[in-house]
Amino acid sequence: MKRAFIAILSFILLLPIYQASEISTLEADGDVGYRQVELIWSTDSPTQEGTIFQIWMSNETIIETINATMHSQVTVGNTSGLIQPEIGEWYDDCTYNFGDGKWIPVYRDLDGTAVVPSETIGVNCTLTGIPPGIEIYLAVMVINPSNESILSPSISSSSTSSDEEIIVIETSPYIFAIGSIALSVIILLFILRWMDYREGKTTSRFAHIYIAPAILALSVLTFYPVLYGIWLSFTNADQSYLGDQSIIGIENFITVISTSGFFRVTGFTLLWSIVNVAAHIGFGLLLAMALNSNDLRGRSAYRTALLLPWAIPSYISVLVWRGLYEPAGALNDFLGTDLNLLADPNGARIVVILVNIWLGIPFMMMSISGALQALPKDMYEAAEVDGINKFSRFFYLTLPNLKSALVPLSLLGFIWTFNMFNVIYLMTDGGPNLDFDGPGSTDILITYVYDVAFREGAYGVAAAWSVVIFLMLVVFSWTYMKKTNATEAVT
Amino acid sequence: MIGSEKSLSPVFHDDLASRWYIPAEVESLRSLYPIVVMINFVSLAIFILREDQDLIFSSSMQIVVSLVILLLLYKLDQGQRFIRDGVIAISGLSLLLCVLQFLSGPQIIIDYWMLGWSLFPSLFAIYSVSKPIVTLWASGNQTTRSAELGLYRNRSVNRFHGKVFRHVALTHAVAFVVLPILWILDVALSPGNSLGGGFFDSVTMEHFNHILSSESFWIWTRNSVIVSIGTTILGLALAIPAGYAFSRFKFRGRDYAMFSFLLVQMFPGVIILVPYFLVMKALGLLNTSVGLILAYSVTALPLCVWMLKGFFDTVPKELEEAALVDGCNQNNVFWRIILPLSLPAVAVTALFSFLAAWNEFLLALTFNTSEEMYTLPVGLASLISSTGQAWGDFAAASLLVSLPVVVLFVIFQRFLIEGLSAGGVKG
Amino acid sequence: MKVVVRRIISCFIVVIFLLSPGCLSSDGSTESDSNDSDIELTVWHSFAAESKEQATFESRIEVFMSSNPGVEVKISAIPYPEADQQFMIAAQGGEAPDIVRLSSDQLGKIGDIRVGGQPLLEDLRYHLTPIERSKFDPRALNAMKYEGELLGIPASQDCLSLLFNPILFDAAGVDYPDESWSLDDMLLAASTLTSGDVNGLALPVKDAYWWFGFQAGFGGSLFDQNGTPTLNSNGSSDSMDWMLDLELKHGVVQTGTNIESMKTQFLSSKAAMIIDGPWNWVTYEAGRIPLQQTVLPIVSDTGERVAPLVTYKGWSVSKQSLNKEWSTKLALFLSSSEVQKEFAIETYTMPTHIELYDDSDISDNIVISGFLEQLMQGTPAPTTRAMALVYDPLGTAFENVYTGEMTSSEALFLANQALESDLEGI
Repeated sequence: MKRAFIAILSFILLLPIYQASEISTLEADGDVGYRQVELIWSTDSPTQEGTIFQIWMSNETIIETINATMHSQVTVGNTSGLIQPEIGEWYDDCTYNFGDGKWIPVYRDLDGTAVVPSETIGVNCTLTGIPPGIEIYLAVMVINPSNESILSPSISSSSTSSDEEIIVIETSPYIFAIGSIALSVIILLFILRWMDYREGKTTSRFAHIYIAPAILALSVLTFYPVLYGIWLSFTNADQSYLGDQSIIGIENFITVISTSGFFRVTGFTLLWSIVNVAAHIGFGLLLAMALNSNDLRGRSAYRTALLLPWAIPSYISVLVWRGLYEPAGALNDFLGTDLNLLADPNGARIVVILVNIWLGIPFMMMSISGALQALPKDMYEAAEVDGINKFSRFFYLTLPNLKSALVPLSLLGFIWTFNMFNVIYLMTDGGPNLDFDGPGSTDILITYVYDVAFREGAYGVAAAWSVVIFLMLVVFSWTYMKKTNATEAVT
Repeated sequence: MIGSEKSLSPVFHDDLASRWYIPAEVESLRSLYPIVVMINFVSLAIFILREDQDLIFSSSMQIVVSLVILLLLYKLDQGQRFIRDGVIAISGLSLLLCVLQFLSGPQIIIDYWMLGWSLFPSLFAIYSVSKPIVTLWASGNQTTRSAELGLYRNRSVNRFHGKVFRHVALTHAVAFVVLPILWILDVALSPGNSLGGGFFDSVTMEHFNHILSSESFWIWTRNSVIVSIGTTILGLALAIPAGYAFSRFKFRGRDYAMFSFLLVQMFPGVIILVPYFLVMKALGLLNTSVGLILAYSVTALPLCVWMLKGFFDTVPKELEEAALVDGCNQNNVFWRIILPLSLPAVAVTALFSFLAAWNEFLLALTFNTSEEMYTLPVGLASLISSTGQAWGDFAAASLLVSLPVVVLFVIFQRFLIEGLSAGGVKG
Repeated sequence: MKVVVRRIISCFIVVIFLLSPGCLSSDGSTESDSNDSDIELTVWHSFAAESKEQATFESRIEVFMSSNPGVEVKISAIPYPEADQQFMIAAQGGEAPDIVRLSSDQLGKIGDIRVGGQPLLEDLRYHLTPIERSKFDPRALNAMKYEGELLGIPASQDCLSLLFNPILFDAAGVDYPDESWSLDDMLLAASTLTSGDVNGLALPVKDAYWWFGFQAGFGGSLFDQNGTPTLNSNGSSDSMDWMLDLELKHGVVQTGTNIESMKTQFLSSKAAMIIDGPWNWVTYEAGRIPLQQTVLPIVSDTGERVAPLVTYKGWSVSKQSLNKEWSTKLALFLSSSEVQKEFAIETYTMPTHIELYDDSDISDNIVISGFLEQLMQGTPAPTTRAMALVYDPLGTAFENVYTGEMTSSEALFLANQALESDLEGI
């Protein structure tokens, strides 16, 4: 009697172990998301620890798993200490239940496999990685703790959800914008010409046609981007919602002016530009004058050597200069000193200015050389015979005649230097930066704009900075032009 | 001394040549010594940074001495023989200081250079001021005839001094300019890929070989050449008529048009990259050479137009009018007369356009992201890896990129000189 | 006059002629073919031109194309410093490539961008089956996730470790570094090795990237579990002082050492030890330095090991791609174990494929296995917007402490404040 009792008891107790689970229901829904299929299955009996569910997929009905690809696994095991991510937090979503219809998110072990506790009856997994639009067969294989595996019948499904609409950038608005700009420029030129013609004021009937190609090329390519930039400065454009910006008036400009260090960076930009242009033109002039005499032997060699900084790509020359100025670099070896210029705000400022001077002299020297060549030599000879000394010859003869060349050169030089990005970016990247919220000690306006645009992503504010730079330069150039009568035609 | 002055006065004060005659040597010294003083100040600054007490002291003394010499030189006039003697004496003092400085052991090149700038001027001062001609002048024994001879002699002496001075100045400039380039050459020729090491200690051509044998390099070069030449041609084609019009004609909107060329340069490019990109895309010019040519021509336009206008301004209108009267039509006037005269300006403009296109990086990268259209700057930048680059290859490639430009410079210089001969028409 | 006018008009015509191809194809259609048998994929990478990585990469692409006829892959090498910027510009202009190689810290920035409401990178969660996903180191995969979306498939990882020149150690009679070293051991050895023009250690003491490992070792962390910045957490200022003292007080690091010069120093045997990643190993070997590697030391005060920051690089698919499936296939191919193994052996790029961690070729290779060991000790960089913003305030903090303007605790406090306000503005 006892034995029978024990036998029956053990049978009842061991029953769960011997009971192999198999899939009793299997459903699939292909309409849950792009490349996703929802698979729901349940077993006929509560699963035991050690059971593994394997999801297989194939293009045809799965008879043997050899011909199919394993998609994923769900293990039945000990879930203590495992993370249990909420729906949507993990790479895919799986839930389980004990047959009571209450779905609970699964646990995940260290390598990402889904783990459910024992007694689980139903599992609902959103399968990812399903090729879209084609018919897929799915089957679940149950591997029982006794290593017995039972494959469920296949179920077919297809992921029918389509991908998000890709936003196609239309170019027709831009063609329209460019076209209208081009047209308005042409019309404007015609109107001006007609007005002049009517009043008989012009000295040539074709003046406007002469400038038309250049103005058209300029306007078509650059007016639109500049106008766009100006418009952008009045919006709150930011990289996290490009295309969805809205106009916010002059708020950006207020941000710009109230940035700590605004005056410091503007001041340094002005200092940078003025010192550089003065040095460029000063040294350029001296060198051009030195090279100007015909009986200088080796003149071509000197000139070519002096033009070299312009020939070498500035990227490498600036980086080499940086290496030279470092404490271990050649400058200290050369001077016998022990300076760490780049680490000190003022030292770094001096260094970047010196490097930019080095870069800019060749161009000025060459342009002024060209201008000097055009001056008549007999003028000088006459002066020399008259006994006028070198300095006076320079100040009263050379300089006035060079004016028509020096004025555009200095103006353009100022504008280019004001917006010279490369040197400072490569040399110090605006540093050393001792101010937490503002520009660094060698930042000029344009390098700071770059930081605001690309590091912070605040395009609206960066555009406002750009407009501020633009206005500063416009005001400066207009006054300079007027003061030097640069636009006068010499008659 | 005072008496001797008085006895000779009637001959002097009425004679132009004698009154205005200063020996060339004295003039040159007067121009030289301010520079010597400046260089002495620079030396002082370096020694202060070096914190070397002895050298600071000797350098300060040198400054004082040079200032005194300068002062004396300006006071030096005919009949001031004792000042002339003073100059010699103080220069001797300066020489002594130089010897002292030398004895305390200059270690590096720059010490020798600073020494040289105190030594040679002093020697030159002593030498030239003791010359008989200067002695004659300083002692007040100058006659009219010798003054005239002196003025005549001045010309050739000044020319000689001018040449020497030019060479000295140019050598200094070249040294300053060429220093980093020598460094780049060193990196390009050193084995391995670091940015340091000894100066020209080992030489290898491996980097140049590596770059020259890579197919991509030649693709980049081809693209750069096409784009740069195209930019030069298009830039000149657009700028020359415009420059001519601005120079010669008065028309409504002229000032504003000239100003508009500048406007575009003023707006920082950072923000306008995306709309610019879209404009190029709308025109279908992405990944083409034409797109870059257009973009670069427009970038170079402001300088080209303004420069050409400035040069056309210097060509006198009378020339054109004379030619027109003679029966040439406007066209011929332009091609045959104006253009050859402005050849230096056109050459400068062409060179500038070429270089603007050759060295430009950002637009080339933004508009042309397909590798076959990369220009040299973009290709060069792609040698940079995320973790620091192969400096040897990079330096070699940079030098190779600069070579065509240097060749252009040499060619360009001939245009500058030729422009001179064409100027024979003027005046 | 008429001749001039005619000439100008002909110029006009030439210009219009040049522009016409553009105007004719103005509806914004790309060159995507209408016949489906020819798929064209564009891949952007930032391997240096003419480098081993590029050669390995291109050969793998050839393999892919030959085993998948009908798929054409066009490669573009984008200079690394401009890579993420160019991608952003191209994406805004509708010309983004299909696949791009990005690093996990770039994802924190690109992941935020929305053009017309759409992100720039495709969420790859839906493109991979769990089995495919499980092949990758879970830390690597996690690093490619930004705000819950999987934005890239990890193909490589890297971090700093301790490299040294045994010749200089032998010459000075100092024992080689090993796992049992503490920071004090390292400092002692560095001091002994510093003599003449040789420095014991080379690292950029002002660079935050090098500092992260020390901060972790001294018990601090950049962020807490919720992502709040904790730049001035426990041990942070101690670690900053310790690092700066290497140059300023002990003199074992040469004044003004930065990333470029430390490489030069090590290459010319002027530095006995260097804290560097695997990326320069080949250069050092080519410079005939018989270097060796060991894991970074233990901080004696805390008992924690210096845990460098681990960053990951992987392949991302652009949201605008018209061939997302093939792009994903290519991305998976490029991160597959064969390709990762080849990259590892040829270029010392550390793999992220779990299979490879146990691979015999990989474990036999001392360089790779050594770095893999260090990687296990490192902390993965969190892929968050905050992580991308960390460098600016930290840089300023370092400058201030280096020049003696502030103490490290003040500087870190202000840096933390600045970072918090930057984050609020987002």
